[in-house]
Parts: sequence; C-alpha cells; structure tokens
Amino acid sequence: MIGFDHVWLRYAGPSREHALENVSLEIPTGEMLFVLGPSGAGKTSLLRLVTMEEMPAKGRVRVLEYDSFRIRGRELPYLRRRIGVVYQEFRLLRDKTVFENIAYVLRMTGVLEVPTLQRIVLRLLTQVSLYQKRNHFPDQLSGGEQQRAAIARALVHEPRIVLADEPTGNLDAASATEVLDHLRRVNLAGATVVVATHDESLAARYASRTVVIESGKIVRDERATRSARYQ
Amino acid sequence: MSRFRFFLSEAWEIMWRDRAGTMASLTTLTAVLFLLAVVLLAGHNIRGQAQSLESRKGLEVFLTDEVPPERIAELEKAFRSFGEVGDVRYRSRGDALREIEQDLGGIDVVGAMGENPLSPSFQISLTPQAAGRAGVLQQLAKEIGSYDGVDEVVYGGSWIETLERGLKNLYLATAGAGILAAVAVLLVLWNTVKLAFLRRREAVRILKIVGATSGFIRTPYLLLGGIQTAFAALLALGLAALLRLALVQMMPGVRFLPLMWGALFLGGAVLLGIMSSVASVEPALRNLERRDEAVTS
Repeated sequence: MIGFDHVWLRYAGPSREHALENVSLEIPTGEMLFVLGPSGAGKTSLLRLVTMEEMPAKGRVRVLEYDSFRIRGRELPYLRRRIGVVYQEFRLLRDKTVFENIAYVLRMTGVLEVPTLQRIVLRLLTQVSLYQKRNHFPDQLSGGEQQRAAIARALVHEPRIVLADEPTGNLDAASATEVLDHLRRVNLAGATVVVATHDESLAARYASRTVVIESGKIVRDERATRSARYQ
Repeated sequence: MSRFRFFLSEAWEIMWRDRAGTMASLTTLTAVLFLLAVVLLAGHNIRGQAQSLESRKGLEVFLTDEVPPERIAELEKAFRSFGEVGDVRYRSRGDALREIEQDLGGIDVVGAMGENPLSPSFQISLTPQAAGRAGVLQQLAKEIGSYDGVDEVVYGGSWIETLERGLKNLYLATAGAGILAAVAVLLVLWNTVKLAFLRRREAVRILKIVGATSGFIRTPYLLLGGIQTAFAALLALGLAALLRLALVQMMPGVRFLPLMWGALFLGGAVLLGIMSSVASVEPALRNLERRDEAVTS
C-alpha cells in the first residue's frame, strides 16, 4: 500500500539539511500507524512524501500503484484523490460553508448531481455530528468541529489511505478523543490510517503500530498488543 | 448542476467576494471598450458616407472620332469583361451633342461651331466591391487607355485619391484604437485576475492537496475574465447606443453599429478576457506547481 525504500529528503534552502535520512518503511493495507516524534523530527515530511507534495532526494516512495520514480505531474491529482488528509490547522476553505467544503471535493471528482451530493455529504456530516452546522462557515465552528469537518472532507471520496498530521494538536482532550475515534472507525472500515503526532498517549490508545522518528531517522518500529490497542 | 454551471458559479463567487476590485476593473474595462465603440461608431458612419461617394466612382473613356462600329462593339465587350466593371454605357457623338445642347438650354452647338466637336465615349461604373478598393480606378484607367481606338480616359483623380487616402487613415486609426484597447483590456484583466488568484492562494493550495487538477483550479478564473469583459462590452455598446441617440438629434442619419459588428465586438472582448486570464493565472499556477513539475523532469 505505502512503501519507503531508503528515502532521503532534504529541506529546501541553503542549509541542505536532511529532513529524512535513509528511511525504509512498509505500511500494509488496513494498518493504523502512528508516527511519533518531537517537532522537527520529520513526521510531516513523511506524510508529504505520501501525497507526493515532496519528492525524495534519494530512494523511492510507493503509494498504491504510484511510484515516485515514475509518477507524472498530471497524475498527482489522481493519487491525491485516493488519499484523505487531515491537518492540525484544519485547512478548510474559509469562504465556503461546511457543506460546500465537503461537496467541493466530490464536485472535483465529477459528482455534480445535487441529490447525490446532498445524500453523500449529509450522511457524512451526520456521522461526524455536524449536520446541524452544515451551513456554518469554518470560522463559526469550534476547533473540534472544524477538525471533524476536515475529517468529513478527507473521507467524502472514500479514500483508501487517510493521513492525519497532528490532528489533535489544536483540540481539547474530549475533542481529540472524538477525532481519533472517527479515524479508528475509518480504519476499521478498511482504510489505512497514518497519524503523525507527538502525543504518545494517543498512540498507546489507538495505534496498531508505532514508528518513532528522531532527527529524520526511524529509531523504533513496534506493533501494539491487541489489549493495548482497544483499552 | 453541470460542470460549466459549477465553474460559472465559482467565478461569480470570486467576483462577489471582491466586489470593490470587481467594480474597479469593470469600470475601467467599460471605459476602454466604450472609447473603442465610439471609434468604431465614427468609423462606421464615415465609411458609410465614403461608400456613397465611392458609388459615384467611374471612368469616361473617350474614343477617337474615326473608330468603326465593329471596334466600338469589340471595346464594349472588352470593357465588360473586366471583373471590376459594373456597367458600361456607350454614348455616340449624336447622344453627346444632344445631352450638351440640353444642358446648355437648347443652344445649337453645330450651328455655332460648324460641326459636332464631341467624341463618342463609354461611361464605365465599378462594381460595389471594386469601388471600395483603393487604386482600382487608376489601374483600370491605365489599362483601358492602352486600347486601340481609345483617345483619353477621364476620372475624378484628385478627389478619389483624397478619399482613398482618408479611408486608409480611418482604417489605420480604427486598427490603432483596437490595438490600444486590446492592450488596455489585457493589462487591466491580467492584474485583476492575478490579484483574485493571489487572494485565494491558500485555497488553491488546499484544492491541490485534495486532488484538484490544474484545469479545475484554472477554469473559474478564465471564466471570470470572460464574464467581466462580456459585461463591460455590453455596457460599452449600451453607452454607445445612447451616444448615437443623442447625436442623431443633431446629425440625422447617424447609424448604430451593424449587428455583426456588435457580435464581433462582444466576442472579441470575451476572447481577450479569457486570453488575459490565461496569461495571468498560468504563471501563478505554475509557481505553485513547481514542485510537481520537478517530478516529471
């Protein structure tokens, strides 16, 4: 599903410092992987390599049937449509309502009939408990609600991979739990979920596997025991 | 909702969110296009007047006195075979004499001069197409003058040359105004669309991350350029129509632009708007896509 083969990534700019050094990692289908590490360790870079917003300086990244060696620029949108991404800062379109933010992704993929759009989006909004706030703009929502809207947007096109970059970073404990519960449900439904966070306690509660990154290198890769995952 | 309607609504939303910028751009575009419409209106009316003068363009071909009737018939046939010639009318010496005596109020010219002093001639008029082309009359006169039996070819040389020079200048002035207006429209819209794009840069980044193609991102901005120029062109034509209504009080006979000109004006403006948007959005989008491009290299 996702593979990193001896991947090196350099930060842009004069320092030419490495964001990732010789990272090799296999993430099979259906995994709920947590990438742990302090700020600047390379977690976000790892996720950006999956969406191919970044390309490795050395090595290869494989995502679904795409390969960083061979992918063409015009194929990137089609790769990204099969990945849902959730960010710490939500990254919703500020000038669109919650409904429109989610419907936009569907329209992009060619779903234009209003009844179909409404059925899919409203069902999803009900699942993330935002049906009542479907006509609100992002600035009218709490952090937790915005993140749930972002999750709904990430899931609306039923991606096979969901990436979450510090999804609970701006949330209180209750909202963080809600968000991760949603992600776990998505994972149980068959999607591969990769969560980058510095919060070890979340990983302990939700991860099926944890990878720890420090200074751009993987220093630990371990599977959680079943009891630990569902406590 | 069709894809086109979706893009239209997106373009509309971009304009609506920046109402002040849209109004400023629309006002400038309308002013520029109105000036162009005025130049076209003036050109159209001057051209109409010139055409009525052109219809009077013609040649008078005087023959030598001793041309036999068979040669006259041959010459008439030869003159009619020219593509530029609309009509050929023969005037015998007797006809010419009768016409001049009538013009002089019945004076007996032969009695006064002892003989008929007039030559037989052909009066040649041009087709409307040939009359509109510069230099046709001069060229035809030169050619006909070389025929055996032709004594002299007469045409209103100086006023025709002045008319043709004037028309040429008019076309140049119209073309110049058109080019200036096109450049102004391009610059105004280039700037407007670029600002609109940059204002939504973060939204564009989000769209790219969720898998929007460049075409999906670009299309509303192209339509934005088209919509603004369409509005501005319609307003400019409306204002030009009002101006014509005011002018017609002082100068009856002032005509408005033909429907085809109006359609071309509108279509040209829309095309220019879209071209300008392409020129504005493409580099901005490329800038955002630089990383993606590196993938293919």
